[in-house]
Amino acid sequence: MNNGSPMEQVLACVGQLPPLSAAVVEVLASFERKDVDADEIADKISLDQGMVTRVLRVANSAFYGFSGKVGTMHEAIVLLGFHNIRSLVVAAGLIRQFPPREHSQFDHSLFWRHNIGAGVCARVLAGRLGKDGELAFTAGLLHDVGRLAVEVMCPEKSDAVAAHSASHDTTLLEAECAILGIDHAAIGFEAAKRWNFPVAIQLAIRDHHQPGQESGFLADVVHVASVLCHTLDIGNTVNDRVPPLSPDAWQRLGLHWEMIKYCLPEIERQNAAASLMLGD
Amino acid sequence: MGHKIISLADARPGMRIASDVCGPKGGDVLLAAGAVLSGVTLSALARRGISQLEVVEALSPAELAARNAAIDQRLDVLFRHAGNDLLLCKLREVVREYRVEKL
Repeated sequence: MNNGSPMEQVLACVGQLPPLSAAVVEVLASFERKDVDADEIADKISLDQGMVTRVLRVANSAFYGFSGKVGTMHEAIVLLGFHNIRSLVVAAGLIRQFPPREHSQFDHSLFWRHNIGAGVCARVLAGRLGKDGELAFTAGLLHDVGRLAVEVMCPEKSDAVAAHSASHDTTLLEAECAILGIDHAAIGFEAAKRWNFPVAIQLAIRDHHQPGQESGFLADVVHVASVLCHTLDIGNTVNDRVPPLSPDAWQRLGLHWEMIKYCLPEIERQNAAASLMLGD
Repeated sequence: MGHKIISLADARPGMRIASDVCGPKGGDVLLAAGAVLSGVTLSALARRGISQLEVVEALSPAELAARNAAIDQRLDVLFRHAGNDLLLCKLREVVREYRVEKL
């Protein structure tokens, strides 16, 4: 690690993040391409049996309605469609690639529960708003990837952030600024650029705490999704709190309370299925 | 009315299922929410390897009050920094209503 400021040290570490698996890279790139060879990608995914197992567990859940009939990645793509499968592949790939560290203060399981939950909230909201739900799911799933990057590349700093947040009753964002001089949204943006995430997802990661007019739909929907996820107590620690909800994002999305009420049971139903991704 | 998860061994004929019962690995809905258990269905669920169920339970007034208090207590923690923020206050109200309706 270099001897610069804490922020420079963190960014230098994040710059060394390992590449994502070939299957995840291709699936992420496919969001911005039309000429996708789903069979070829399925072959690549099939090389990682651990990833396949997680994807099939969700694909066989009651939510998709294929009741244990999905046995291979190729079947998953035929039955559920490549569009619906790729967000599951991204989730499974990242969970597999960055396993929990022993004695870490970073709760790996809660991290993924929150991110999968935010992904589900984003998918349900986007669906109600007539937008691409799977892209929204993927953006929600990846919105806190900056936290994961710090945990993987600077574990001692990740522990210090967790300890500071707990002892000072601050938000994670405040603890990160105090310890790292930079927050997980900005770190995540750097990681997302390094990993060549689609640009709309990069912006959603960067701006999910304070989306602006220029941030785009995904940033707005992921912002609201993350707040909803905290409110529904999905992936929270005992001391977590609901972060501020941007009135501008709410207004730009055209949300109203009846829509939120309608979405809550659907979010819990879909989240039960998506959470099958977790566990051994 | 509330919901509780019980082991199949504790399930009795006459109990009402609160949420769909699916196969142990996900998939087929074996018994839909709202169905009333019978001796036959209990045996069938045992054969399919089901180990637990969510059933509807009738709550006493005291139990209901305790569940309501637990909901408020958790929301107090989650919204402890919300202050008078209008959106967060409304969000809390909507989620509280949703939680209470499920009791």
